[in-house]
Amino acid sequence: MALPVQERWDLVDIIARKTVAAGAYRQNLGDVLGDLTVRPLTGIPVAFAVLYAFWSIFSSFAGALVTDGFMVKVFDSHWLPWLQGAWSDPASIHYFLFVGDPLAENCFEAFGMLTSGLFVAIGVVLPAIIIFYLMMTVLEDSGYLPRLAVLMDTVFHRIGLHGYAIVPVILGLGCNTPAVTATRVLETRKQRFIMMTLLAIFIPCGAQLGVMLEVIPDAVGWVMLFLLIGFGIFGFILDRIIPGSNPEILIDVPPYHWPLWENVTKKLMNRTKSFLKDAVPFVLFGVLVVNVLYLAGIIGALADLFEPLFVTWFGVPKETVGPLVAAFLRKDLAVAQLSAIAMTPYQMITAVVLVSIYFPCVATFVVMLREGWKELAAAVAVLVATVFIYGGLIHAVGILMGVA
Amino acid sequence: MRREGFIVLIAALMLCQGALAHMPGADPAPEADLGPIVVLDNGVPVEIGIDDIAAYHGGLEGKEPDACICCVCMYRVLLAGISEVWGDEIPERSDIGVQSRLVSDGALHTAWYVTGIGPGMDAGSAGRLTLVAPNGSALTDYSTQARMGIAKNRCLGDYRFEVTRLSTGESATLTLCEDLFPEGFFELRRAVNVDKTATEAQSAEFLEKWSFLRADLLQKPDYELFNEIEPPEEEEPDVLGGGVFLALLCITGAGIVLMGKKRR
Amino acid sequence: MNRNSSMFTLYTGLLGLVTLAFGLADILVWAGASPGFSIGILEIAGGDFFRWAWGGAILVFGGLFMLGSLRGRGTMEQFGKIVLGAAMIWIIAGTDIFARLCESIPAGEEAPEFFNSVAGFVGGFAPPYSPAILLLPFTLGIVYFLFNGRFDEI
Repeated sequence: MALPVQERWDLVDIIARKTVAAGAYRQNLGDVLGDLTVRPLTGIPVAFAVLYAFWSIFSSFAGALVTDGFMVKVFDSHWLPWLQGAWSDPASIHYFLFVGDPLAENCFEAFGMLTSGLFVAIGVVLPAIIIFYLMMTVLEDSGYLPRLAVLMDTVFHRIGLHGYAIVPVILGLGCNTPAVTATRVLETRKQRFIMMTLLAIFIPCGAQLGVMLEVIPDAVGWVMLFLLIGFGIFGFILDRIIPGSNPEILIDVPPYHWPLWENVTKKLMNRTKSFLKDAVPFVLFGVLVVNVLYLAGIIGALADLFEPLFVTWFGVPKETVGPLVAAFLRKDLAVAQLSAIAMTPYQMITAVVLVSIYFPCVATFVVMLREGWKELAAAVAVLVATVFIYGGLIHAVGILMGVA
Repeated sequence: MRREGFIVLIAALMLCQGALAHMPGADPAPEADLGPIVVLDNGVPVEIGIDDIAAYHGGLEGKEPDACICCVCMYRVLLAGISEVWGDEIPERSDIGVQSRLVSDGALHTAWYVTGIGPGMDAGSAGRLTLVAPNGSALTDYSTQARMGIAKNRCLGDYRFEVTRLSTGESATLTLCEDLFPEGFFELRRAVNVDKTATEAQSAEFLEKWSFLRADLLQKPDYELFNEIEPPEEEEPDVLGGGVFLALLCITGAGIVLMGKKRR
Repeated sequence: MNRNSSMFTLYTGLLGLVTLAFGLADILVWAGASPGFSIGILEIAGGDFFRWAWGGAILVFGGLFMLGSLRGRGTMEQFGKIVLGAAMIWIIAGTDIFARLCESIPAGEEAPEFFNSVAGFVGGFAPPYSPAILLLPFTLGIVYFLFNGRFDEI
């Protein structure tokens, strides 16, 4: 039986009166802090402070405590000597593939699947990823992340995106693979393409950050600065050359609240598990493939082929070709390889930036392919041009500053 | 207009890359924070950094500025020697005496530069430098030919130096530690630089060891370079200071937690 | 304006000024105005951009927030600014203490064992301290008001 309109509204009123209680709104401190952290004048300094805390905790925990404090000792003083002693025939191919350099004194330089591969995956990347995801989850669950999105909205509009682009960017600092999927929070194809391309080129993943912190701690700031500048410049250019719209968005900003530790633990476990499932096989397999390529002479041939480009244009030694090949498999692995090559500090910064902006790792590549092969092809074209121009630009800046 | 701007940018980039002179051979010197040698030149403080030495040595050799092993070695000797003899005081240039069994160009140029007696120096005062032959006598002929004759047979014993405070006669003798030199370094050096009998592989190996040694000389602390310098004693941890801090931190933290619970 | 209120204004103003001064000192030492100094239990090393320039800037903002709260009447928003200012100090001091904790637990690269001795661990927290750590006890007044919900009285 259908009720007439007026009776229906009367019924709604009766139900509402019985179920909805209205009280006077009283602003509390949480509301005030919530307001202050989205206003640019107070919100931007707070964002700087949060980023400071994020990076400081990340480097203290992953760098000083777990990797330097324990993992280096476990792997270099116990695991490596035991493996070198136990594995027979240092001149054999299997020794080269699995243990690496028989004279190596640390796991970074040995470059075997069970030495460098395990050390990078377990000793360096795992602690970095755990602490990164823990902090990210806390920020997310406390309600700070949407406020950061509001704050960043104006900045991101300059490069054709909107505030919620902060989500894939921060996720990308952990791992680019879920970050590419997270580009779906953006409205238009143009926005998704720009974000995906910038992610693939300019956002170093947590694994890479962890290795950078381990091998070039003094230069990490410079590398990040170059990547940030590149992110801005190339985002600005892409916004102007790619057709499409950049609509405004409405963001629902929840009040601040304490994160529920059950949720934090669950999210942390899930994210770390899926990362490990993707990363560890890739790191181990990556070392194996790179070693096979070295044995087959392919990396040597590539190094000779690209020597003029690398030495003259990018200003880095030709030996960096090997790590760049490895970078396609795992970027963290490539940075670890770079650490064993003799370079000036500026060459090292340039080489690490090149590794970062060079092809995304194979896992990200696959996820990008899932988003559409046309997008992937266009992103790769942009990427090749970016590597060439930006790599040369960094070298030129170094020459002009007298440090390259 | 935009396209022209882009082409100009690429052209400017290419010019920059073309202007670079690449140095073949050894690995580039690693970054080192050695600090300057500070001397008084007629009462005026003068700071001498490793880059000044590299420029002076390069200028005299007619090459790019470069601090070779011998430059770096003599630089570290003078830094450590001055610190041992003068302590916190700054020496007057004319009060510095240096004796060196290392008679190479790099060592000579570095000592010249610091003592202010080298060619092309604009020093108001000058110290004293004595090169010493392997038999212990002072060299009188500093010509390249005379020194090359001695340098042929370079060995660990040649890395012996003495820094003297001329006004008081106080001195410090410094010798390089044996384990700094990679195995077979002197044999390879002779085959590559003197006899010219080295194979390509031996030359590459020598370059690698040379770079390794220079990096050590630039980066290792004095007590790992010189036999005569003792490592600093490890400080006992300040347990009382740390304990007080931790106690205060724990008490305050507990107080805040209790306050928070009471409020709820 | 009651007595409580003027005392709290004085306290916030002084804390804001000192925080601002410490933040500026961090930045100036990093910029090379001094090679780093240590007076009593206070130390500003100044070598690292991230810790001293960036961290110093955060202290400067913290000080400015507190001083900015002095303008106008004692409203919830003013107290919010004070809390944000104090939060800036807590962030820097907290990360400094966390860094000490992380460095004190392992025995060090040269030592054969994995864990530091108890004396070594406790000694890792010994003075000198960064300005932010020294400011920490002076922010307890804000914590007191925060937990007692008495900010509407100030």
